[in-house]
Amino acid sequence: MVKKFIYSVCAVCIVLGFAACSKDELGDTVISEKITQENQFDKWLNANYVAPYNIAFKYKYEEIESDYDYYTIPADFNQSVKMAHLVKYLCIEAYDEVAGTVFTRSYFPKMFFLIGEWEYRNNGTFILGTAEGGKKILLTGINDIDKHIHSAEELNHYYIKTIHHEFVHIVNQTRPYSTEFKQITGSGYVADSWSEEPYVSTYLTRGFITAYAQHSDTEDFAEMASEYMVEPDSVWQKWMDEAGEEGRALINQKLDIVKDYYQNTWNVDLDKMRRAIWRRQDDVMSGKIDLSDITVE
Amino acid sequence: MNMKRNNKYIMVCLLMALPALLFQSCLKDDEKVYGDNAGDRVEKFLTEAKTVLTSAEHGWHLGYFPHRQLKFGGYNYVLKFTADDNVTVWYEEKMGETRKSTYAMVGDDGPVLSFDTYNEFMHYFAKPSQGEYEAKDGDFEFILLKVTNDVITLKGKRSGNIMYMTRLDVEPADCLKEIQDLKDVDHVYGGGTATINGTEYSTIFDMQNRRMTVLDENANTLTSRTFIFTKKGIQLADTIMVNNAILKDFSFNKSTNTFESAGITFNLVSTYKNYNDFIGSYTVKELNKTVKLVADVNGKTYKIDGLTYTGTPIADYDSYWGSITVSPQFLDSWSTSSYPSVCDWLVLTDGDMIYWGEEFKATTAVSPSEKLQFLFGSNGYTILEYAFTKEDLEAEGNEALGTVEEYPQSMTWIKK
Repeated sequence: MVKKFIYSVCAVCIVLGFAACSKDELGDTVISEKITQENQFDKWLNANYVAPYNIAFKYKYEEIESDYDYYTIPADFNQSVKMAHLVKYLCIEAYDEVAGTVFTRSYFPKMFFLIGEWEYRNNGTFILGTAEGGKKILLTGINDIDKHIHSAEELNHYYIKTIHHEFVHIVNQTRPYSTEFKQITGSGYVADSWSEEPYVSTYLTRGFITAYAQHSDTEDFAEMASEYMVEPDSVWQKWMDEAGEEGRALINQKLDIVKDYYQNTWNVDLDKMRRAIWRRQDDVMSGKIDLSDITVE
Repeated sequence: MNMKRNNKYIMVCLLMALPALLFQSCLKDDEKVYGDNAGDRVEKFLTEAKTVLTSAEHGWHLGYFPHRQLKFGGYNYVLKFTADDNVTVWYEEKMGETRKSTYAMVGDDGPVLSFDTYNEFMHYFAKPSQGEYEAKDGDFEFILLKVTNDVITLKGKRSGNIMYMTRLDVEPADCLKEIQDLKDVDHVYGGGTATINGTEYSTIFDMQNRRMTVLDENANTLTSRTFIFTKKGIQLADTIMVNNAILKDFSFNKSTNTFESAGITFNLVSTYKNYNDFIGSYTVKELNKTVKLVADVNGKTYKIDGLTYTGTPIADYDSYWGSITVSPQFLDSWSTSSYPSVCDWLVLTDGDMIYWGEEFKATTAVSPSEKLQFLFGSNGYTILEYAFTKEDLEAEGNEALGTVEEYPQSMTWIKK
């Protein structure tokens, strides 16, 4: 009896003890304060990225978002504006059009972080972009957009394909693709040697769409899907010719799995997606889209 | 005494004490040492700092020192901040031009001033490239160490270098103009002599590389520092001591062609040399060998005989500074049992990285002496022979094989 009493007194005391002290509210975070004012571009981003998609498009440098392994610099303001339009028109709205806004809102990465230069490695190669855990896409080389903006091929090569490529990883991480895929060229993956001879020049005949696709099956899948989406048919056919009979057969087997995956897992017709992206590229190239307009309706 | 009762007694005492112990901490006022919480304090500091920054009508002068070893010397900037997060930047190397971008007051690594969108001037020393992946180790984010109404003390986040912003009372362009006038006047005056506490020293004011060097009687470097141009003359990146004299600020006297520091006069002499002056044989002290500069037919370059393991590198004559420079270049190739082709390149190194872009130069500073002599590698770049598998270094599949021949960080060439 006494024991019980002791316990209940203890319990009451503890409750009282906590209750009495829990008045202090949590303050704002002390991790990162920023004293800034919203500018017109911020307003445009709120209207075009945050409100409809809940996507943060971080064009201002934040050390915490950058990769400490590289020397990086901030993105140029005006070229960031152009990039925001390009991502919206060539990627986000292309998915809206073909896969539906629910798909885009659910799976499209929630954060973009822009930096001005490429991430240079000490061996002269550089990184075009990376994705982290399906949430954040790092876009590098923003300050070179003006240099590449007049060529769809260059825009794809340096920026847009990267976004599609990273988005493929994200959907793959959400729902995996068939294990059959990696068996088609199972012995062909060479990890980091992809940029060396003989791999760097024989990838097509070995059944890979790009040299980088030889890195691993996940990269292969992302390269297949993203290249198929952005490359014009003429380029694709040229590659198929260069691949030869054997290489072409392997690539087509893999392409079938990629298309099936998109169709059956996500109800997305990759050929339809491709045509939408081409049409949108043409719109950008013909100047139909004002890439500098940041007025909010 | 009954042991059981005793235990119970203690327990009851403890229980009675328990509420007191628990309540106690809540009864007294929680007085905070700083008043506000950490986040509020940082925010308050940043807001106040921003008010100070934007209050300068003519802006702020910034003495900017990139690179943690201060390799490039200092550069003058003027910055004008506005409340809507915009900053206009003037830069001494691009007189008459400005660049506009944004800045932010951020609380992460302490209170930080961050230039958070690209500015061609502000990010010049931080912009990496294929040949220079660490850029020039310049900062664009600065920890605010101390903010007063007239002087703001900054610490480069990357380099750790301490820099100062000073409130301007003249227009930005005028501030830089005063500095520019000095830069223009004496660019050909590289050498000098000074008597410091009874001993005579040769000095090199290398205006091109912003480096001041004091030589001993054997023409060896005694001490050397980079500097920044100021309104009055130059200021070394940090203090040096020569024969008990402490030197940092040097004021220039145009009429006497002298620098003055700590009461010591540095007489300047022109060390400018013409193309033909350099032709001939030299003793390279550090290598203990004889090297020959042979005139090329174009009258602009020289062949360097006897320096490298293989090949004959080309040196350029720099007519502006009256000195010579060497840039990365292919020397020769051969084959070995393991490699079909070993391509020997003359590359540049700062002791850490190697550079092979043609925009890089190892420069020389001519010293004031009877015999022509110059310091090779006065801008911190020295030459290195390095082997690759391909002559075209950017070619796919090119591999770096390793060092063929190393050279001292600085070489003294004395004409025979």
